[in-house]
Amino acid sequence: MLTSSVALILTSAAFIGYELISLRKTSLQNGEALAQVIAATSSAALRFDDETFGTEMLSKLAIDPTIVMASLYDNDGKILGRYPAERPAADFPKIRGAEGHAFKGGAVRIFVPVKEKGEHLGTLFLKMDLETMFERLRLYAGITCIVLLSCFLVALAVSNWLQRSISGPVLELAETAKTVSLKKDYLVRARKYGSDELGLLTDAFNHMLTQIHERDVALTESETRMRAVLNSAVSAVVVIDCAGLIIDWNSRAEQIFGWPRREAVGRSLGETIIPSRYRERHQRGLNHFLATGEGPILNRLIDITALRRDGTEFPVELSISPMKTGNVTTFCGFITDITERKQAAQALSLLAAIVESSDDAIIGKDLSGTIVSWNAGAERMFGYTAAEAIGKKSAILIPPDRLKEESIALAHIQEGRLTHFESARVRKDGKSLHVSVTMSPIKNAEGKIIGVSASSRDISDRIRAEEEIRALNLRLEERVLQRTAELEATNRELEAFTYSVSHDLRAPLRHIDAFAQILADELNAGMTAQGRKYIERIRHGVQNMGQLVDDLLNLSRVGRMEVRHRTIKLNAIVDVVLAEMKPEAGARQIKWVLGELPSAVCDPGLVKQVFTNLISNAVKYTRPREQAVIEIGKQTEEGATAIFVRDNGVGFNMKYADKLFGVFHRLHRAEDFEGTGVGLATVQRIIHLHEGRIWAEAELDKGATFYFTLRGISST
Amino acid sequence: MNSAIEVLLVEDNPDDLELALFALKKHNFANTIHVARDGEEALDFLFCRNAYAGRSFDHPPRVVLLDLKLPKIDGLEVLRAIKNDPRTQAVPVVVMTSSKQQRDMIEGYKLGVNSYIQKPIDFAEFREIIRQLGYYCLAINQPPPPEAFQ
Repeated sequence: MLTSSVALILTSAAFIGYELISLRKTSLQNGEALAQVIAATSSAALRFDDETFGTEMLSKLAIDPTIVMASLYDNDGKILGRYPAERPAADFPKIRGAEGHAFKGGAVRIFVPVKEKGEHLGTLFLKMDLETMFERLRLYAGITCIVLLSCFLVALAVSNWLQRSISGPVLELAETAKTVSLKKDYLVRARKYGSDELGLLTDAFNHMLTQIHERDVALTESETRMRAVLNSAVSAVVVIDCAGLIIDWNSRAEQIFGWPRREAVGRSLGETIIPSRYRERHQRGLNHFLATGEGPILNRLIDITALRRDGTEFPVELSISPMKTGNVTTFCGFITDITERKQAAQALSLLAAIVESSDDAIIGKDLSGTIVSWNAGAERMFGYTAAEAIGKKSAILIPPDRLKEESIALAHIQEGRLTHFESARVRKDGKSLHVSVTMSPIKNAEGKIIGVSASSRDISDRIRAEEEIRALNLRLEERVLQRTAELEATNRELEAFTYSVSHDLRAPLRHIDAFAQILADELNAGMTAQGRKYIERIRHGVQNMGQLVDDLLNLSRVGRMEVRHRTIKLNAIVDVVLAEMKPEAGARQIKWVLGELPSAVCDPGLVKQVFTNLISNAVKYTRPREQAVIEIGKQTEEGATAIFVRDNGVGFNMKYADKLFGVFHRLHRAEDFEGTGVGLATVQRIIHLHEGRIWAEAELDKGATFYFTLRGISST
Repeated sequence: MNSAIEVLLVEDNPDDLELALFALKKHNFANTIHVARDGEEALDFLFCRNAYAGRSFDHPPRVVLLDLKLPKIDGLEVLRAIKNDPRTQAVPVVVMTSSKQQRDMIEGYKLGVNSYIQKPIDFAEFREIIRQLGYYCLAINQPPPPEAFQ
């Protein structure tokens, strides 16, 4: 619109300018032509210097209304004619020899020389009014303006109409397209204004939008589906570009490697999941592929070590496929964490190795008894190779009389029970062996029993050893019986011996004593004092001998008797002993220091013998003391409670302490202190029967202390 | 009453026999003593058989002094026979032995012995025991009535 307006205006201006120039030119030409004509006719007036003629000649100019002023000059500038004649001479320009023309103030002044036969006679001046021309020009301009205005109005109208019917919809289309491209909103539709070409265009555009929308929806769905598929994939899916940068990363990859997708995308794959020592190789492989289009690891499964974000490494299975879209190559990697699989495989191979290296024969059978697996141990044990055994019935190994055991075991297995039994087997070479068999059911993944695992151990050696042990045991039992019988016989002999000792050794003593007494009585008067003394010596010896016999019998009885335990306060035993002892101590000065003694689980009769012995010893060996002190108490020795009996008697030299408890060992002479040398031996035997310990501490002439412990005394 | 035997002394050892008789005589029991030298003779006497077939059960001894170590039938067997037979079981039996064997004492008491005496080595003590025993059995203690012998 603007353009057309400018064009119109420019055209009009050019047209008016052109008209102006051509009008001016035409006016000038007309003026000059007129001037030439007048000049030609006016030469006479000049020649004759006739002003009236001149003015008459000039008056003819009245036919041309545009000539407003004219004058005729001679060569001296004298005016020889005027037009209009009535205008004073002063109004006319004073010129001499002027030629040509000049436009000035809406008029053109034309100066034409007047010549006759080449003689310059003077100059004609014409002032031509251009008003007429301007009038025409104004007319032209007016017309032009009208035309322009009309044109403009028409154009405006047309433009409006065009705008409404073409530009509007086109602009709206453009706006819609912009909206669509900016907002990616493919649901926006352009408005249709008619059924013309634009309408068709709008339809086409909208149709295109619909299609785009459908595609977009389909694409989004596909993308979503694809993302869902990727994210639900058990494997990590990683897409990298040819620079090795990650461009996609599914959720399994997030889990496995510890990198969230938003962080992983854009990183170098090598630096993200490949341990540093493999990175260079990875880069080389990538470069090699980019250069040659081939790579050894593409489109196949490989096991490698991968790196987690926390720096730990783990085994993965990887397959890489190049994907070419247009000129762009990307690589899609499927990565599976095979840590568990590896461990399982290791465990399995370990298990297999264990089975294979086992000394036991490990045989797999189906439920019909057909051998399905056979380890090296089985080959060694039974002599069949795996090839020979597999497929055969396990009955080839079983002696006919043992087949029943096998069917019982199989019945147990089918109930899902593990069975263990000992049986016999036959080797390929016919030799038989004893085996210990453990059968357990083999179940499939659904828990159904599909077979039996039988592990057999060769126990022939053990059976042989057991038989030997049985035989040895029998022999041992016989020997034990024999020894027991011997021992019983010995015991009986010992019993008989002690019986006769107690009976037969005492009888002569009694007789000696009795007859010595009778003799003394018979000889009453005739017996000298010396004789009486000898009789006394005989009787004293007999008493000693009797005591010795009694003590020995007691010692032997203590060794053989059964200990009868009960709990008793040791103080109670000591009280009884002291009560029995006091008359014996007679009139002696004895200071008794009695401590608090614990209770003990013991045989009271035997422990009483211990106290009797030790206390009577203390009484005996303090005899030289005017004031005897005998102390009975307890003290802790090496964590155990020891009972002691202490005296301030004659004591003994500690270098003989080890002889103290030996039978018949005495540390004192008989004439100093009577005794048989059996008492402490008996005491020691009683203490040992009570799982205790007895020992003594003494110093010659200072006194002695006897300590003993009993197992039955609870430590304090 | 003179013919009645009041003490049956069963003793094989001549020394012991002599000493026992010596002690008994000292206390005037000598006339009423019958001596058996072994277990068999003692039982014959008590059960009025063999050499003593003429004896009557009507006159049992008032006490039997029994040694344990005897030829043929030992003292405990004699005791068992006496105490197992209703005709003799009422007769008081005093075991006198050198032995202090507990086994014998236990067995003796189980069989129903009335007293168990270990002969002491000191002869004076022995004489005192015999005196007390004689006094007790023959003077103090009431003999079992004839009905006790069925």
